[in-house]
Amino acid sequence: MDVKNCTLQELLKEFAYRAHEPADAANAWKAKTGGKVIGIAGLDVPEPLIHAAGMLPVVLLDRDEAVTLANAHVEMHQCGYIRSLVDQAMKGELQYCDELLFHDCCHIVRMLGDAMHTFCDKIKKVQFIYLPPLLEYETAQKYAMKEMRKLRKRLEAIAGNPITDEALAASIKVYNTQKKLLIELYDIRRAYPGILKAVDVSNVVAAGMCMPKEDHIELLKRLIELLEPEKAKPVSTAIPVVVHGSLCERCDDYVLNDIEATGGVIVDDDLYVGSRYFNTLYDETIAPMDAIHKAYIKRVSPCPTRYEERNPGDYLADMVKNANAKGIIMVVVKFCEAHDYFYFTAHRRFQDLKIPEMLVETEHDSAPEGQLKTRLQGFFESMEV
Amino acid sequence: MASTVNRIKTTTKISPMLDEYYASMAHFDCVAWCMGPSGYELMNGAGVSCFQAESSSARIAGGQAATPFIEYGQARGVSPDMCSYAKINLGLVLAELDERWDMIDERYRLNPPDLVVAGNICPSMMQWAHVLGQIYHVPVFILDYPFCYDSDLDVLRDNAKYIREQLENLKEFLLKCSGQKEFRGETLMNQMAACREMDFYQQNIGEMLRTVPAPASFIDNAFSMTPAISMKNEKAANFYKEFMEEMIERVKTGTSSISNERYRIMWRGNFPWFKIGFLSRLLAKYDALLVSGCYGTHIHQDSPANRLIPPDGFDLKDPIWGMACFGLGGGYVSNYEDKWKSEFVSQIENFSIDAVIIQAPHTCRPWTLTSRELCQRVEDTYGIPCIVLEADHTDPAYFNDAQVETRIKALLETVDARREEKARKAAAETDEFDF
Repeated sequence: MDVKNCTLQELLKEFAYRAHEPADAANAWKAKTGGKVIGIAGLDVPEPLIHAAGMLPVVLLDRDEAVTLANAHVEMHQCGYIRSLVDQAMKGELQYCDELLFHDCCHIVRMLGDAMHTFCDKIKKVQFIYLPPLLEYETAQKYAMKEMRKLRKRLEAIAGNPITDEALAASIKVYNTQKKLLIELYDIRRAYPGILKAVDVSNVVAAGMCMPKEDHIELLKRLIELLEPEKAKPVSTAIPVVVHGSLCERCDDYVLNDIEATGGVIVDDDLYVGSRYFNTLYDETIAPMDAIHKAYIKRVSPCPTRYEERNPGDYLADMVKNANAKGIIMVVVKFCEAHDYFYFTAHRRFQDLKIPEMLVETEHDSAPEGQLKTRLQGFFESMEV
Repeated sequence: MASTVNRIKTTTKISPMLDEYYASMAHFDCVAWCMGPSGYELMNGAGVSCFQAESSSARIAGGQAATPFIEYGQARGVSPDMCSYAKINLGLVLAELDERWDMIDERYRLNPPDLVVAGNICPSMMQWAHVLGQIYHVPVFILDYPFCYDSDLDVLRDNAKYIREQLENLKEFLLKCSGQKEFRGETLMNQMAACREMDFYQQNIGEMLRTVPAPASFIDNAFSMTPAISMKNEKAANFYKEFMEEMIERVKTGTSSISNERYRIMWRGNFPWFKIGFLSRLLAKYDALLVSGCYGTHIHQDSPANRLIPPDGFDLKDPIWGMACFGLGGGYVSNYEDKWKSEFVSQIENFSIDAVIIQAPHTCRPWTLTSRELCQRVEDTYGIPCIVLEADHTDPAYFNDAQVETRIKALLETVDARREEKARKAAAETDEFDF
């Protein structure tokens, strides 16, 4: 696409395409560079290490299509992300990945990585990285660093290239450039409610998780440029809300659309395919391995699969306040057990702080839109009162 | 005619023994609520008593009292998809905070925690502890058991060192919480000695289940795991000794667990604690007996600790190192091949197994994932039938008596059909050479 001359609509269409067809970009990149593609699952895989090895990291997201083949192997009471990932693997849709790298982001992913190749001959080797969840414990922090160093060696072996500190520092710079542009985009979204639909924002971030970072950066720069004249238009008068959740997958488009079709406008988010992906910058003033390590243990968003003393409700309450939002919508993926506990704690805090909050549970193969719309209408009406 | 169940008599001592134990804990000023493997052996020496939350929930479920607490919690934000041990506990906590004494039996009342300790072995423990820490405003300590995706001995040793460091930190944390000045090493040594003794008896008890017909049921065995988990003292060791002696006597006299043992079953997974008696009677009705399994006792088999501290994983000179090495098995969700070897191969090959039942607990997803692959692998490797039974450890909503009976009946009929087929083939081979 001609990035320099495209319109906003054309650019948003390009983001949507990149977000939904990651294999195309990955295969094109492979053909151009001859490099390897690493499919990654888990929130905390240190991507710059892969990038610095001259390989392309692609975050494996769930697909919209119904789960079929995986049903023979994965129970219906496993989360939609797990079921979709297995389904994609069984249908051969992950063939573009030369290797898979799973981070122990939850015990199910831990199990899955090892078991998947037993019933799916289309899966190539699965690598692991175990990052202890105890972010504030020194012993665990040391262990995490050791694992990251081990991973660096393994990635060097896969790529056939050494990962120099210089290359890693350069990769970190690329990642930070992307993150800063996304942060700028979110600043614009907070300042001009409704300037972009939530689904478009989701596509912008998802594309950045799948495609080469350098290409994504070019698209982002153009997007921010194209939003300049949009700022002069009247902002949305709908009720501003924050959306949190969908912690390993894309928040379903219908949920985002329904929120914005029933009286709300999303002014900020704490979604995996959202601010959680980019809100922790790498510290460029310290050694690159230390920067990667620091980004893990000093993450901005609390994660239910990690352990920190803070109450996640406080973090989200601050987000609501900073975005001038009137309430929060919590999207919990059915059967994400860690998130259930996180929700329970946050919910009690919202009650204490009197922050209007609504829970939306999502399931991969089900989209009860009618019910959701009615509930959302009720939620927004109650906030108007 | 259906078999009758001849339960190990020693097991009737568990309840009074536990009551006595919990009463003896009352003199501690500092109570730790624990979930998962939480370094229990360190607690008493640091002046802390331990309340094991899963055991408490299992006890409530066993007393057929789980549902009101589950419902109470669910009406107040507890998700139905959480581990049912946690659902019962949180429901009970919320009911107590709301002073709903009308719905809480005296036996189940809680002594609020002064601290919470959890072992990170599943998606629940760590977050459950966090929730309790937030509710009661008490400090929380998490023990992390690393995922041993590489079973190389050096890697295991490094992982054990990591656990050891955490246990040392836990010791300090406990002392800080209790206000006790010095750790009582002798208490720890005594507890570890008791653990070693218990381990020896439990191993022997497990081994004797190989006898055909079996002198006890694996249900007797699993039902008796609480003293080993919660008490870890001389009284608990004596209990297992008595259990073992009863087994030896039974082997000597040819006394069997059920009157007509025709099917020997392996059970994989935890148990629906609220249906343990039902299962025992149901199986006996069809002359079937559970003789092996990997819950409650699996930590003693093929443990990585045995590789690091031969022969049995105990190091009484350096008890914390021994605890750390045992901790390597704490992450029960280990890799797939290890799981197959330790939980299936050794059980099926050593216990004359006719069929396998895999329990897939609805609210314990790590146990459930790969059940179907393991089931198929049992059939392919050993030619014995296997079923996956969808149930739960403590939530009665996920158990259907009639369906369970039908499935178990079908399983046993499959065993019969395969036996007949085998006999027919053997007869045909004989005919070929019958000149």
